[in-house]
Amino acid sequence: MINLTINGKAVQIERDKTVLDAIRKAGVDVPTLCYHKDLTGYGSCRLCQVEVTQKGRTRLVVSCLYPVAEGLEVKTHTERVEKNRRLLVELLSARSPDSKVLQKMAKEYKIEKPHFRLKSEKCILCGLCVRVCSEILGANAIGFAGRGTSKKIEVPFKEAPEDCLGCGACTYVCPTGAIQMESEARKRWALYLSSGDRECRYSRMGLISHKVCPNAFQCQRCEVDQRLEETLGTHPAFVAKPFSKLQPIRIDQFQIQPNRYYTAAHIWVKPLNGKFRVGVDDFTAKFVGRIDNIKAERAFSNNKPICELVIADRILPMYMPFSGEVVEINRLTRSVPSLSVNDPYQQGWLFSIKADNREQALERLLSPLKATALVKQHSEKLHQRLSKELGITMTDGAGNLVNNIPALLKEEEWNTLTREFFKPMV
Amino acid sequence: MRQVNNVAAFQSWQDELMKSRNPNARIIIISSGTCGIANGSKFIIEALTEQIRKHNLDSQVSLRVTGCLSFCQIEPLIEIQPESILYTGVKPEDVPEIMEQTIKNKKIIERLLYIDPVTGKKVTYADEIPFYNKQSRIISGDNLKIDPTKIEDYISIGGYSALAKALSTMKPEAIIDMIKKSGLRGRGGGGFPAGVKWESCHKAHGDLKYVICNADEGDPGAYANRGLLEGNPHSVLEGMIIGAYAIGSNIGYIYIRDEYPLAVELFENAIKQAEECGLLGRNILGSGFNFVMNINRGGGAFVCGESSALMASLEGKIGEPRAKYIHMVERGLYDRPSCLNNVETWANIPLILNKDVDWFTKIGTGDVTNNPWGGSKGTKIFSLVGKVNNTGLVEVPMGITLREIVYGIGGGIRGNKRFKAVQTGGPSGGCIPDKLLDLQVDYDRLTEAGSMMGSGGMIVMDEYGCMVDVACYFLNFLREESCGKCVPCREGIERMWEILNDICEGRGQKGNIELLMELSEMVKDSALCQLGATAPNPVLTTLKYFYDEYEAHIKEEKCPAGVCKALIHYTIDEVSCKGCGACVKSCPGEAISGEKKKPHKIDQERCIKCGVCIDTCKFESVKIIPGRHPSVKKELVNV
Repeated sequence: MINLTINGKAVQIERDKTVLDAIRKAGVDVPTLCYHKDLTGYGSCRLCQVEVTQKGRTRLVVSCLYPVAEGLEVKTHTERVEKNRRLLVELLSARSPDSKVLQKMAKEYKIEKPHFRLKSEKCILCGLCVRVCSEILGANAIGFAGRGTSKKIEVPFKEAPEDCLGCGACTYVCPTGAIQMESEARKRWALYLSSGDRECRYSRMGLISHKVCPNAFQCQRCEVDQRLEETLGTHPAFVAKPFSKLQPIRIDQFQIQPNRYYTAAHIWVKPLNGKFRVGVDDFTAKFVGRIDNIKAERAFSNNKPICELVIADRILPMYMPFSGEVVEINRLTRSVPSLSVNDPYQQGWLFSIKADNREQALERLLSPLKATALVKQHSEKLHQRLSKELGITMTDGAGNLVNNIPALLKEEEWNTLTREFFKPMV
Repeated sequence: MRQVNNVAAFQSWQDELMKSRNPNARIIIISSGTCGIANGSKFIIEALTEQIRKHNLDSQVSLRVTGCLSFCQIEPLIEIQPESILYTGVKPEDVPEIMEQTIKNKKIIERLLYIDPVTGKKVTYADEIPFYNKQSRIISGDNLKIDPTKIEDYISIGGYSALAKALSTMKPEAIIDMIKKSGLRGRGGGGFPAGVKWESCHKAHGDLKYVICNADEGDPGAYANRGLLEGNPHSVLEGMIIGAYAIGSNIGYIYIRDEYPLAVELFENAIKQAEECGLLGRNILGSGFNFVMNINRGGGAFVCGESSALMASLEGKIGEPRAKYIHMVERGLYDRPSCLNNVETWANIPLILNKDVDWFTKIGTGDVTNNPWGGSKGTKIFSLVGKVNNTGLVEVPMGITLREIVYGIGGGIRGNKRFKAVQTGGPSGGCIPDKLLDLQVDYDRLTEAGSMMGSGGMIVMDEYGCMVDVACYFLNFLREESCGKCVPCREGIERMWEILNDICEGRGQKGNIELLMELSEMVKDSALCQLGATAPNPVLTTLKYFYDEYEAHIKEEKCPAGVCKALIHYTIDEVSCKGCGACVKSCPGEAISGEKKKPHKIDQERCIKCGVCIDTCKFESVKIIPGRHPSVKKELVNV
C-alpha cells in the first residue's frame, strides 16, 4: 500500500493505482472527459490535472496517468490548476458549443461566452470510443485519422468496417453524443449479415448464446436488451470483455498466445501470406533461458530437425511435425539469437517456412487450446523431473523459472529431458 | 573489404588503411550531399570522370565524392587537394578548364574562386575562408576526408577504433562513466545528459533493451542531421554500437524521415558493410557482443521526432506521444527499456572515446565535473539560414556568441541590412533580438532567453521581417503538425494562431495580447508533450522582445516591417518615377496607371500587394508604406 495526501487528507491505496484513483477514493471531485475506469488512461483532455509535490519538487501532472508514490502531496484545486481548467473548458466549449456536458462545465466555471470563434464539432476527440473498441471489444473498428486540427474519428479507409460488431459500446462511452446508433450503422450490420438472419449484438459479443434478432436491430424495443442493461448497470461490452479472449493465456510460468498454432515439440506456427512463420514457444524459451546460436539447414522433415538451438555446449534439436523448407531467416534472431528467448512470439520469430503439403501441415498443428493443455502437462512433468527426481530448485524467490536449466543439468539428464519434451513426431 | 573477427585483426587492417592514405595525393573532392546533387554535382562528377579518363590521369588523380561540405550557399563546390583549392559554383562546362589549368598546369582559375562578401576579395584556399576557419569542425570536418559509401575510408581516418577499444578494454560501466564525465548533452534539443540517460537504461530491468537514433529532423530550415548521415554514416553507427554495448542492448533502430532518401540509402549501405566486416551483427570483433541495426523510415509527421511518438510509430501505431511519467529508459519501445539519442549525440560518442574526456570538456561552457547539467560541452552543428551572407551548416563550440556566428561565420546580413532577430530551436524555439547578440550559445543561456537549442536550426532575420508574421508562421506550422491528441495543443495552438492571424490581417483587437499570454501559459503548463509545451515560445519571445510591433499592428494598424499585407500600402514616389511603364505591364491586378514619362499611380482598391512592381522598377520608386492607405476602408483590404 502507498500513503499519500490529497489536499492534506491522508489516503492509502494499492501500488499500481493512479493519482486519480486516489483522488476519487478520497471523495474529491475533479472533472474528466477522456477517462473511463475500465479503459487505459489517455491523458488528452488535461482537465484532471493536479499539482503534485514530491521531494520538495512541485509540478503539474494529469492525475489519470500519474502513478501514485509514497509521500506524494496532491493538490487538486490550486489557483494555477483551476485557471488552466477554466481555459481548457473554454476552448472545448468553443469547439463543441452544443454539447450538454460542456455547457454544464462552462456554467460551473462561469464561462458565459467563449473568447473564440465558435465551431460546431460534436466530437471532442477524447478517444473513449477508440479505446473501448480496441481494449474491450478487440474489434479495432474505429480509430483516429489525420492529425492536428484535422484529426477525427474515422473507420478504416472510410469504409464500413467488417470488424464492427454493432455493439454500441462506442455510443455508450461517448461523452458528447457524437457517435449515435443511427440507421447508417444498422445498414452496416445488415451488410455484415448477408445471410439474412440477424444475430443479436449480445450474442456477437459472446454475452449470450446464439440468438436471432426479431426487432430489426431496434434495441430499444427489445426486452432482452432492456433487462440486460438494467441488470448489468453498464454497457454489456464491459461485462463480456470479448477482448480478453485475445489475451495471452498463462499456465504456471508460461504464456500461450491465442492467435497462432503450436506443435507438440513447442514451436509456434502462424500462417502468413501462404507461408508459415515459426518460432519457439514460451516453454522452450524459459526452458533454455538463452540461445547462443541457431543452426538451420534449408530442408526439414519430421525426423530431420528444422534447427538446432545451441546453448553453451548443449544442443536442442527442434522438430516440425511435417516436412518443408526454410525460405526466410529472421535477420534479427540471426544476429541476436537470444531474442527468440526474450521475445519469442513477436520480434524473436525464427523462420518463414513452406510446407511440402500445406493441408496436411495444418492438420498436424495444435490449436491454442490444445497447446495450453500440453504446456500444462509438460509444466507439471518438468517440475516433477527437476525438483523431485533431480533435486534442482527450479523457481527463484519471485516464483519465476530459473533461467539456466541447461547449465544445471548433466549431459545425460539434458538429453533425457529434451527427448521427453521436444520429441519428433513419429 | 575484409572480414575481421577479432580486435588484433581489425587493428592491423586499420594500420594498413591508414598507411595507404597519402597526404600529398592529388584528389578532387566534390561535395555531393542532397544539396550538392540538387545543384548539379552529379553532372560534374560525370564530367570529371570523363576528363580524368581522357587525360589518362587515372593513376595520378582520384575523385572523392563526399557528403555535404557544409557551405551550401556556394554549391556545387569542389576542393582540390593537397592544396585545398576551393572552387565554387562549378558547372560541368568548367571541368575541362579545371583539368587543363589547375590539375595539369597548377594554375588557379580566378573566376571560380570564392568571394568573401565582407571584404569583397577572392579567396583561394578553403582554410582561408572565414566561414570555415572560424568553426570547430570536430565532427563535420570528417565529411571532407571520406567517401560515405566506403567503410575503408572511415576506418582509415581512425573510424571504429573507439568501438574496438570499447569492446576490448572497457566495461559497460566505464563507458557510461566516461560519457557522463564528458558532459555530453542530448543534441536533439532537450539537452538531457547522455551519460545519465545511458546509466538509467543500463540499470533498468529487462532482458531486451533498445537503442534508437532519432533522425526525424523536421524543423523547417534545419538539416544538420542530414549532413551528418549523408557525410559520415559510419560515425553515427559506431556511436550506436558503443552505446548498445554500454547499455546492454542488442537491437538498434534508426528512424530517418522519408524525405531523406539519400541518407536512408547511405545508412543502409553502412549497415551492410559493417555487417560484412564483422563490426555489426553476431559476435562483434570476437567479443561475444551481438548487435543488429534496423532502419525505419518516418512518414513525415513532425511530432514523430518526439521520443514517445517516435517509438509508437516504430511499433506501427499512430505517432502520438504519451505521458512520460514512467521514463522511456524504463518503458519505451514495446514497453521495454529504450535509449533514444539524436544523430549528432551518437556521432559524438566515438570522438569522446578516442580523444578522452579532458579533451572534450575543454570545449564548451560551465563545469560538468560533478554535475552533468553544470554546463554545455563539445560542439553543436547549426543550420545557419535566412538573411545572412554565408548560409550552411556551421559547427561551433558551445559558448560561442550569436554575434560570432551571424557576423563572423555567417558574414553578416545580406545586402548590408540591419540585423533584427535570430530564430533558434526550430518552430518551437524563440526569436532572439539584437540586444542579445552577445548571448553565449549553450543549452541554458538559450533557455533563459526564452528560446532553446532544438535540433540546431538558426534562422536569421533582417529588418524586413515582421515578428508577428514570424510567430504566426510558426504557430501555423505547429497547428498543422500537432498530433491533435491533447486539448491544449490541438485547440490552444489553433486559437493562438487564429488570434495572430487576425492581427496580421488587420483584425487585431484590444485584449488580444492578454489572451495570447493567457493561452501561452496554459498550453505550456498543460500540454502532453514537449511539442505543445514549447509551442508558445515563438509567441512569448516575440511578445517579450518585440512588444511594440504587436502594438503597432493592433493600435496603430500598421505593420512596421512592411510584411502584413492588410496593414501596409504601396505607393509610387513621384520624384524618382520616370514613367517608364514597366510596372504597368507587370502588374497582375492592373492597378497601376499613368501617362508615359509622368509619375504613375497605384489604385489602392485593386492593388493586391504582390510586390511584382517593386521587382520590376529599376528606379526603386515603388515604396511600401506601413499602415493602410487613407482612402481604403478597413473591410476592403485585400488579403
